[in-house]
Amino acid sequence: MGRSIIAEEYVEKYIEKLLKENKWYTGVIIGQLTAQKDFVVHLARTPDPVEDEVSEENVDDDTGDAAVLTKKSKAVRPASLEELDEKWVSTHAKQVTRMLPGGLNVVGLFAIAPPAMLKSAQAKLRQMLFSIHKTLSRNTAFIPAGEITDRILLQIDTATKRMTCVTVNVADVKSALTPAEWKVQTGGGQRWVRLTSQVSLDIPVAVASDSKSLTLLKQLQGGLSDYANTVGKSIVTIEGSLREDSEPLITNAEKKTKGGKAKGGGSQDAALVSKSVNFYLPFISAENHSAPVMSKSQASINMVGAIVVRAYVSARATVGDAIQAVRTDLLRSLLARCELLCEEFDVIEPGKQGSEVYDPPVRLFCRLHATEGGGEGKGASSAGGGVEVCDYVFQDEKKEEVRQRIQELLDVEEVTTLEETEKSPAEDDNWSCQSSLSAISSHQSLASPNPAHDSTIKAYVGAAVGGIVAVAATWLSYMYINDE
Amino acid sequence: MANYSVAVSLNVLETIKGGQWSGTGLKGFLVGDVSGSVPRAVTAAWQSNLIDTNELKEDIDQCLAHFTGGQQVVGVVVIPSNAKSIKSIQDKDQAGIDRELEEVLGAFDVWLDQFGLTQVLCLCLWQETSPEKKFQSAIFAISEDGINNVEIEFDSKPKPKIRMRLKADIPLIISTEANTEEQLKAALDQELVKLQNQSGNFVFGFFNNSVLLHQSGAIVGSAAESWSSCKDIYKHFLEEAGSVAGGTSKKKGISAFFQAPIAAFMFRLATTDFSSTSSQYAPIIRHQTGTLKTTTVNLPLDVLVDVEESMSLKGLSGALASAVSCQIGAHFECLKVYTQRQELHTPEVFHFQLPYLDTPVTVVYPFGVSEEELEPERQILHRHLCLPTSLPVLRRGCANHFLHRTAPAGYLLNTHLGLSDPPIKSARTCLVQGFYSYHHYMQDRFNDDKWGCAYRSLQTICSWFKYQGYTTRDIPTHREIQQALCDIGDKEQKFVGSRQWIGSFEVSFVLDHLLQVTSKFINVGSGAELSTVGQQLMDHFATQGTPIMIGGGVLAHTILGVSYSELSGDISFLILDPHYTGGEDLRVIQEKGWCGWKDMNFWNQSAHYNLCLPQRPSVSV
Repeated sequence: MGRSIIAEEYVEKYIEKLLKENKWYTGVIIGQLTAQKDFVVHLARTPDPVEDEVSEENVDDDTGDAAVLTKKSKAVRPASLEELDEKWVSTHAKQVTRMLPGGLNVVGLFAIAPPAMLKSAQAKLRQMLFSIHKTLSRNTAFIPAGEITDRILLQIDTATKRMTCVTVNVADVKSALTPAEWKVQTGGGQRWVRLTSQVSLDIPVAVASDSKSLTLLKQLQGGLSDYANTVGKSIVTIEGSLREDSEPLITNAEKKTKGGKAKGGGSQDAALVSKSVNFYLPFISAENHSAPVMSKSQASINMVGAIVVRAYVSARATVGDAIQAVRTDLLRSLLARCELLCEEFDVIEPGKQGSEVYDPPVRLFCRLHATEGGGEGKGASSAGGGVEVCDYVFQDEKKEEVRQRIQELLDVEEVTTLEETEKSPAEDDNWSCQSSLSAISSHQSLASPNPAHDSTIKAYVGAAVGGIVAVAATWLSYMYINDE
Repeated sequence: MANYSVAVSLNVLETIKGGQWSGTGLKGFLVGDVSGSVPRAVTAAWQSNLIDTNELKEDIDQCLAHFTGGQQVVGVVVIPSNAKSIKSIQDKDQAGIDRELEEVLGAFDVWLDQFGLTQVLCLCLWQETSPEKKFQSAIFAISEDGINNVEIEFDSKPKPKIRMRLKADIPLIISTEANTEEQLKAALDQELVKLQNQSGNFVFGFFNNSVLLHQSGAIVGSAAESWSSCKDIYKHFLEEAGSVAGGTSKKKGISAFFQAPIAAFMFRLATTDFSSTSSQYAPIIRHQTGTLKTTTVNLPLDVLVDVEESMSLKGLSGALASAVSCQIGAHFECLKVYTQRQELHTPEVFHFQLPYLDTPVTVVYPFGVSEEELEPERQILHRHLCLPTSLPVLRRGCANHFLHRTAPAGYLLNTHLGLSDPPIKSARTCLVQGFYSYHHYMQDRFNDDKWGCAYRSLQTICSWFKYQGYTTRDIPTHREIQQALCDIGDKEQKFVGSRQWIGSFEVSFVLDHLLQVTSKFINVGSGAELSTVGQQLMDHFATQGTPIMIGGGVLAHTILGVSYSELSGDISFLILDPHYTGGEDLRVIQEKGWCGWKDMNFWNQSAHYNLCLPQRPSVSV
C-alpha cells in the first residue's frame, strides 16, 4: 500500500503556474508526514545555482553548506535536471527547513520538465532525495526526526501535464520507488493546529581541551546535544493539561463546538486553533553518586535567553505528535541560530584567550501564503489554514532583506507582515550595562542600540522586485553584509 | 494571660537538657511543627550562637537544612543571664521574666516576623546549683501581647504524617581560569544565585510524573483534578501501592508501622510567561576561550518532607520549595568547604532517624571524604543537635535505614516491627536499638541448611554494628568468618570452606577480631534457668541495645528483646530465627513465627545455653 498524500489547493495552482512557463524546474516539497496521511502545504523551486567569480574553494564539507559567496557571484543555470548539483539542492532544503516551524518539514522533491529530461534524470532525482536526507540529518542527530523515513518524489511532465507521485524510503539505500496517491484537497484546505510557547534557556557548554571541535558551531552543537537530551525527557503540557501521547490533540468536545460554529458562521471554517504548551525540564536523579569530573577546557560557552517556539500539526494529530513537533521546533530553532551566527563569522582562533558575546539573529514569523491584502480580491487563499514560516534576522539587517530572502527561498510572491516575536538584547540601551559581561563582541552593535522598531512592518512589495535576482544568490548562502 | 499547650516529648526535652550549653543569652532554635501560625510541637533543638539578628535568615536556613521539609523554627533557647533571672523564672515572677526575656530578645516582633509566627516559643535553661549541675527548663511563648505561659503535653501522640522524598540531580559546570579558592568560590556563588533565580520555576512531579504540582498550588494531571490536600495524594498513593501488590500479599497491619515515602521528582518550568516578554531577550552566546579548569558536578538533592494530611496543596508545594532551597544552600556550603584545597566534592545527602529527637535529621557530607576526616564536622553537628558526644549516630553507615524495609542487598530490616507485644501482665519491654538485617539459611545463594545458624546470627549482629555506624566493614560471609577464626588460631586452615558449626564463643572471637567488639557472656545450665536472666537482659537492651546470640544444644538464635515482669517473673523473648529457609517475605516470617515472641517453652529445658552479649565499643562520634 502506497502513501496517501493530500495537497492543498495552493499547491495545485502553483503547479499550474509553473506549467505555463514551460521550463524545467526542481524544488522541495513542504508538508507533514503522519501515520495516516501526508499533507503537502507548499512547493518551493530551488533557485538557480550561483558561481563565485572570486573564489570557489570555500565549501565547508562539514556542514554541507555552500560556499560563502561574494557580491560578484552570478546565477548559473545548468542545462538540464541531470546536471543539477545535488549539494545545491540539499543546501536549499536545509535552508528551507530552518524556516519551517516544528511539524513542517521538507518531505520530498518535485521536478517539472519535458518527458525526455525527466526520464533521463530518474536516478539523479532518487539520489537527490537521499542527499537531502543526509544533509538534513547531519549534525542534527539530536533533533527528533519523525519515524517516517518515506520521502515524496513528485514529477510533472510539461508535455502531458501528467503528475507521477512515488515515495522512497531514504533510510534504506536499496529501497524501491513505491507509487503513492496524490490528491488535491479542495474547499477550505487542511485545518492546522498551531502550538506556541516561549522557552527560557541557559545552556552551559565546556569544550574539552582535547576536543576536536574546532569551530564555534561544533562546540555549540556539543552543548546542544546535551540540552536536546533533556528536552527529549521533558514533560510538555498542552493548554495546561497533562495528556496521554495517544490521545487525539483535538478532543471530540472541541470538534463539536468548532463544527457547530463552521456550519453557522459560514466561510471562516479554517479558523486557526492555537494552543499554548509548557515545557518542564527534568532534573533526573542518578542511582549512584560519583566524584566530580575535573577536566581542562579550551572554552566555556553559555547560551542564555528566551526563544519563541511555534509548531503546526494537522487537526487529526495526536498529543504525542504535537509534543514531538514543539520539541523539534525548540531544538531546530536553537540550532538554526547557531548555524547562522557561525556562518557569518566563524571565530575561533586557536590559542586565543578572552571572552566575547555574540548576538545571534532573532526569530520572526510570517504567513506562508499571504492572505489577500486589501485591494483586489483575487486568489482568496484560505489555503494552509494560515501556517507560518520563520526567518532569523541579525540586528544590522534590514527587514526588506529578510522579506526578500523568504520570497526567494520559499518561492512565494509576497510577504506581507513580518511578526517580530523576539527582542534582541541589543535593542535595550541598558542591556550592556546590566550584564556582567567582561567583553562585548566588536562585530555587534550592542553598544549602540538601534532606535525602537515597530513590532510589525507592512510590506510594500513591488519597489524592490527589480533587485531580486541580483541579490538572490547572496541570500541563499546567507551572506550578511555589515554596514561597517 | 491565655495559656496554650505545646507537645514536647520527655525524650526530646531530655536530649535538649543534655546538650552542651554554655554562656548566657540566645543560644539556639527550637524546631517543630506549626499549625496555622502557632507552634504545636517541639521535635528538636538546634544549638547555635545567634549573635546578629540581621543574619537570622541564614541561621534559620542553615538549621532547617538539617530537618525535614515541613519542620519550622518555632522558638529560641535562652540561657538566663544571672541568678536573679533564674529565681524569677523559678518563682514565676512575671515582671522578672518579662525583664529577662525583653533584655535577651529585644523587640518581640522581630522574632514573630522572622519565624512567620504569631507565637514564638522560648525555652529557658539553667543549671541546678546541686553538684550534678543538671539543666532545668521552663518554656514561655511570646506574642504581640507579651509573654504567655505554655503548658507542655509530654505524651501527646502526634498524628502520623505523610512522608515524601524528593530526589533530583542538579548538574553544575564550573569553569575557572585557575582552581584558586577565590575563583572557585566566586563561580559557586554565581551558580547559586542562578539556581535561586530559577527556583521559583521548580515544579514537583508525583506518581511517575502523571501529576505535576506548581508552586502556586496548581496541580496538573487527570488523576488529580479534584485534589485539594495532601490527604488526596496519600489516598492515591495507597491505591497505586495496592494495585501493584495486586492482592497477592496482604500487607495489612505492617503498613501502619512502615510506609515508604511517596517519591517526588523535580522539574524546571522552562516556559516563560508570554506577558512578561519585556524582560526576556532572544539568546546571546557568551564565549570564553583560554585554558580553563572545568569541574562537572551533580548536586544530588534528596529532600524529605513530612506533612499533615490536612495540608493544602499550596502548603505542600511551599514546604517542598523551601526544603529544596534550604538543601541547595547546604550543598553549596558542602562544596565550598573544600575549595581551600582546590577541590570539589560531590555533596551527598544522608537522613538519620535518631532515638533522641522526634524528627529525622538530614546531613550533607562530601563524597569521597573518609569518616575519620569528617569527625570534626560530626562533633559540631552533635553539638548543634544536642546529641550525646560518644555515640557514632551521624556516621554515613547509620543513614537512611528508616526509609526502607530492606537493606541494599535485599535483606529485610527490623523484621520485628509490626509485631504485637507479648501478653505478659505488668511487664516492661526492652528491645534492640536501631537497625539490623535478618540473616538466615539459604541466603546469598549459599546452602548452609542444618549448619550455618550461628553464622547467620553473627551476620545479624555484624549488620547491627554496621548500621549503627561502628564499622564500615561489610557483613562477613561464612568463609570470611571461618578465615577469621583461623587467623586468630582458634581453628586450623582446613576449617575454612568446611560445614562445621560454630558456637557463642566463636561468635565473640570473630566480633572481636573483625569489629573490635568485646562481648559479655551469660551461661545457664539448662533452658529452664533462662527465666532467671530477665533483669540482666533488660539491662543489656536498655544500655547496649545490641542483638544477642544464644547457642544451646545444636541450635543458635538471635534475641532481639525481652519482656519481663519483675512482679511475676514472667518472661518472653523476642526471637529472630536463622533457621528460616524461605524467601524474604515479611508476612510469612512474622506469621509463622520466624521472628516473634517466644515464652519459656521455646527453650530446650535440659540443654546448656551460652548467651553472647556484644558490647558497644567506646568510640568517638
